[in-house]
Amino acid sequence: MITLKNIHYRAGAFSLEGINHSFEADRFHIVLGPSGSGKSILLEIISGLLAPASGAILLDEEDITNHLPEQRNIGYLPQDNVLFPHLDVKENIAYGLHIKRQKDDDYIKEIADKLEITHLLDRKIQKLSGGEMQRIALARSLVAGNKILLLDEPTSSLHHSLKNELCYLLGEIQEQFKLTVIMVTHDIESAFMLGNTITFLIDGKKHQTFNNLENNFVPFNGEVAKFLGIKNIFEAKGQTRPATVPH
Amino acid sequence: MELTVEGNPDLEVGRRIVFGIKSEDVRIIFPERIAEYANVPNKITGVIRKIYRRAHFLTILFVPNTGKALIEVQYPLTKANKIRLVEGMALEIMLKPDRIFILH
Repeated sequence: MITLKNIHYRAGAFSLEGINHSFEADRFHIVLGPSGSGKSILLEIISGLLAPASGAILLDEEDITNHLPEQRNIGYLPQDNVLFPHLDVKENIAYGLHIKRQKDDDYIKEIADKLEITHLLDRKIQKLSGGEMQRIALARSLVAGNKILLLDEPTSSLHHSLKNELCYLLGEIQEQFKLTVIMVTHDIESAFMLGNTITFLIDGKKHQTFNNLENNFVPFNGEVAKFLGIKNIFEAKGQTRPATVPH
Repeated sequence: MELTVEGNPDLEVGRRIVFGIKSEDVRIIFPERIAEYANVPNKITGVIRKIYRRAHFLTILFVPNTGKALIEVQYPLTKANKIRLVEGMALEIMLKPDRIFILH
């Protein structure tokens, strides 16, 4: 379990304000919100690339707030899929093992098979599509054995059918490898498709967490309703029975 | 206009509230089935102002005969293909009481 305790962060006019949240292990968690709401910053804080101004990050019971990124055993796939251009696909994937000072070609092949990228292993990075690069970045994180995976807007640049394919793949990978996934996105459709839990982050504030296994989602406040594009919002005055909608 | 809301313990007498309903939770009552809905609350009569065809559903903008509200209705294309909904058509809709939510 990853626990955020009263996380604050400030960058210019933007701030994350007192984020408290627990991400249960072996679940697919979504942090959903519009662009500029602090989702990527939150991931960078969890991964260790950014330090919070105050607050703590616990991994199970251990305080990892001051741990370096490589000490956290957390896989992080940024939005722009950083792959090494001078390495081929296999070497890029193997880099995940290199960090762990291991070498295991069979395991790379096994992961590549699961992600259906075996035919790409000898290719140059420059020859790949956006969707292929995402799979390779995912493979690199999986071979490293990280049980926690942070995904930053993985579906944002994909068209509809590729987006669906990636969502199916991510859901399968999470279940198969028993990963704790935290994916941030502004894409409502993929959020509700994948998330076991969905947490709304808007303007640096946590607004609502929804258990997606429930049947009917109900927005808690106007900000969440507005973000979701719910148009039927009205004012009324409560009466014993029934309520009156003013004309 | 009066509405019945179910399952909202926060609703207090006299308190102004903001409430909503998702467009997919608005039901269209077709003329041949009006009798079935005789005793159902939250029926609103009005007119279809605009119909937008989406990938798998229609978005219908509905204007009640009383009040100024514009209500958005989402209707599955598979059902819509069986009937003829046109702009300007008089219609009755129903807001399901258990689907109305109060915003905080």
